[in-house]
Amino acid sequence: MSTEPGTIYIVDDEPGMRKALCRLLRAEGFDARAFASPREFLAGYDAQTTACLLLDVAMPELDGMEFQQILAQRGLQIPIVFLTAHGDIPMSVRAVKAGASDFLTKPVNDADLLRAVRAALKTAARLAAEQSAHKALATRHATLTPREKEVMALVVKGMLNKQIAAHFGTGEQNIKIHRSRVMAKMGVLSLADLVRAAEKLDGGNSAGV
Amino acid sequence: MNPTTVIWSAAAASCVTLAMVHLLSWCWNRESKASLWFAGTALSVALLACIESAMMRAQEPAGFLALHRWGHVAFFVIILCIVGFVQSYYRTGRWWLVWSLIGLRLLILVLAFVPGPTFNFREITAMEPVVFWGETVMTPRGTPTPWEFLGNASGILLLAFVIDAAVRLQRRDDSGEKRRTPVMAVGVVLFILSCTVNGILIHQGKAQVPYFITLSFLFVIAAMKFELSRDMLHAARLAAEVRENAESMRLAAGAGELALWRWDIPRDTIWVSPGGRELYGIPAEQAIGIQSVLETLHEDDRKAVSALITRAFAGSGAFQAVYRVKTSQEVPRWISARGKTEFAPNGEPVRMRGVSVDITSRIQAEQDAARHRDELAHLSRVTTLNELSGSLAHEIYQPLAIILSNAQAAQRLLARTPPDLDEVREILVDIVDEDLRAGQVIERLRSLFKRGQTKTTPVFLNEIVDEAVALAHHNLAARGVTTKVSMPSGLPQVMGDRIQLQQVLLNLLLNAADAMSLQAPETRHIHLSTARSGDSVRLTVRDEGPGLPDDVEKIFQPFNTSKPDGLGLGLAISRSIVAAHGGRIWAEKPPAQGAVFHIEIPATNLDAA
Repeated sequence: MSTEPGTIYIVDDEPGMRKALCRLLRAEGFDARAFASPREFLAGYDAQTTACLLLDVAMPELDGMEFQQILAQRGLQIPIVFLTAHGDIPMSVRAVKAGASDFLTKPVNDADLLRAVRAALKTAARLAAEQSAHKALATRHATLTPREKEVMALVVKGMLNKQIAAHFGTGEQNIKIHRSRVMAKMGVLSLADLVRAAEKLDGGNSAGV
Repeated sequence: MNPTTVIWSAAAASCVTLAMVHLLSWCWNRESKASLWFAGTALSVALLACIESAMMRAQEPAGFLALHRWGHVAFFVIILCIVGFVQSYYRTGRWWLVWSLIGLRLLILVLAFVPGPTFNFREITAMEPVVFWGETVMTPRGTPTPWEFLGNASGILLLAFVIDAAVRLQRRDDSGEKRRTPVMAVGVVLFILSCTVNGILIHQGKAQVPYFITLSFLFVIAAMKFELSRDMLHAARLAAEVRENAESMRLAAGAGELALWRWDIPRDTIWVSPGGRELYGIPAEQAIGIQSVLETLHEDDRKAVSALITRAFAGSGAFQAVYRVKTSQEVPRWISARGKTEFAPNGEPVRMRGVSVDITSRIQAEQDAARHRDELAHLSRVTTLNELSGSLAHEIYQPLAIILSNAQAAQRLLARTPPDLDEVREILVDIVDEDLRAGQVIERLRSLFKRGQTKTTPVFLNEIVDEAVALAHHNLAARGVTTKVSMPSGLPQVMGDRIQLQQVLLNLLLNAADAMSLQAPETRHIHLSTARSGDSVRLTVRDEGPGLPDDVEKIFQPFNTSKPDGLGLGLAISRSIVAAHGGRIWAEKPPAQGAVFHIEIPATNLDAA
């Protein structure tokens, strides 16, 4: 049995549908786990694994779209593939705008389902990689002294050593030393790399890291 | 002519005349025994008049005595007839008094005929002429016997008997017969008085008078005749009333297109009022029997009508049926007939009387109304289904989606080496189940979309609830509405149209969901329950929405809607559907928030529940 990486969480209130999707995905070698409601999913899923969510749109209590918002509010970056029986265009546009990975209509063909699921898992993997890279950068950034952080911020803004020295009221030589320490601690060789790392960190900040 | 001759002759003649009249009347109607007894009394009194008349002319004691004995015979017969009259007319006399009186009179008769002395006289010494009312008549002179008291006793017995019968008649709870009693009693009292006086005068030798018992009896004859005449007058008045009634009936029958009929069952002949033949299309001269009437009926109704007749004969005799009569046109004539059977004492049906009414126009109006209701119901159903269309698509696609995914999973499992046959087997079971489910959904939808006549069958309301909830399930789920169903098992069935009842419930469910659309999803609940309620089954739908207006009845009026795109016909049509089921639908404001709708439909076969 060939096994594919990643876990697929299925949330659907219809037991027959859950069973059928699980069978299909497992037969394809995926690790598929089914939940009857969003609540059950939140209680039972593993945040550490690379995973995507196969989500039924129409469910009592909490529908798929509302659940998508809740996940976003909680900062759970799990790619979502929506499944619906009567998917209309406005609804799918809304879902995709809100970050859905794909939007499928039941009955769904296996090829479409697998393609969507694989794409979602790839996104999940990319997100995981980005996240770990970001984490590494943040770890490095944390080792900088406060003065080094300030120097780095001004360097990536494009200020020259002379200007920075004037800004702090110290000698240019001093700034040079700080700068080379920053480059070493952040593990970058060129100014361009340092700017990219700073951008990533910034993006991370806005994402709430 | 002498006065006594004239009086006695006149008395005898008039008694004979009266007797003849009543004898004839008895021949005409053998039921009236009283007439026969009266005729007997009158004839005997006439005979007594003749005997008394002869006695007044008897020159020798021997001849007088012979007449006197025969006078007792006449007297006996008169008393017998009076008693018979009272018993057959009032039927309240005591039989022991009757037998004592007859026994006593028989004894007197025997004593009157023993040789030697008669009942009244030990011996008669001579006949003496006296002047009575200006005529010379013969009166006896002799010594009385000590048996005189027996005669008086018989008089008292007769008096007691008549008065007792009169009193008992008065006490009987029959107001119609009360008023006539005193006359007879008064007649007898006067008779006894005058008779006793006459007896004392003659037998005790107090005065020289002839027997005038005939005249005393005239009181009784008059009283009896009075009673019978009053009856005749009464009968004549009744006859006039009957004629009047018959005429009114005929007029009413003509005006109301009623046919009156009477079926002589043993002879199997049916009489119908003039309009009746027209109603059934039977030619004027043809004799009618039950078979010829049944032949005019629509083929499908004959058996049922025969069965109803049989049931009427076996039961209380009441007959009631609605059936169709064949006509020259394509449309049958609807007739409603009611009848009542009369039974012979042995329980055999002898006669059935009744009326038949043409109710074709009423039935047609009812059918038109039913068709309109069906059409309106269909329209409203289609509107409801339109509202549900997304949800219904889901209901159909869902099983198809499950089948597809299962089948594609199976293809993969079979492609493996070795193939996972156990899992494939399970998959196939699921595929079959889902396919059946899809079929049911489509069938249910097809019947909802179908335009058709109301089809009434015994149904379980619990099943209606399950089906309607299944149809609306996805629509409700998509709107975040959860349904909570509590239905006890073992409820009786109701007679109803499955589709229309589902429609009513669907309408209530969608209304409830609409009502709660503005509140938080976790508070959108619909509670459904069924319960027994007396002779009905009750279905209750409660939501937790904002509730109903103060004037709850208003929501059942047509074109009353709170929805921007609603027609406002749903509840009005629901009410007409439930009413057509003989049930009712009403709304309530519960103490807490929300709205409650109840539907009650009469249960069928309560015993089977």
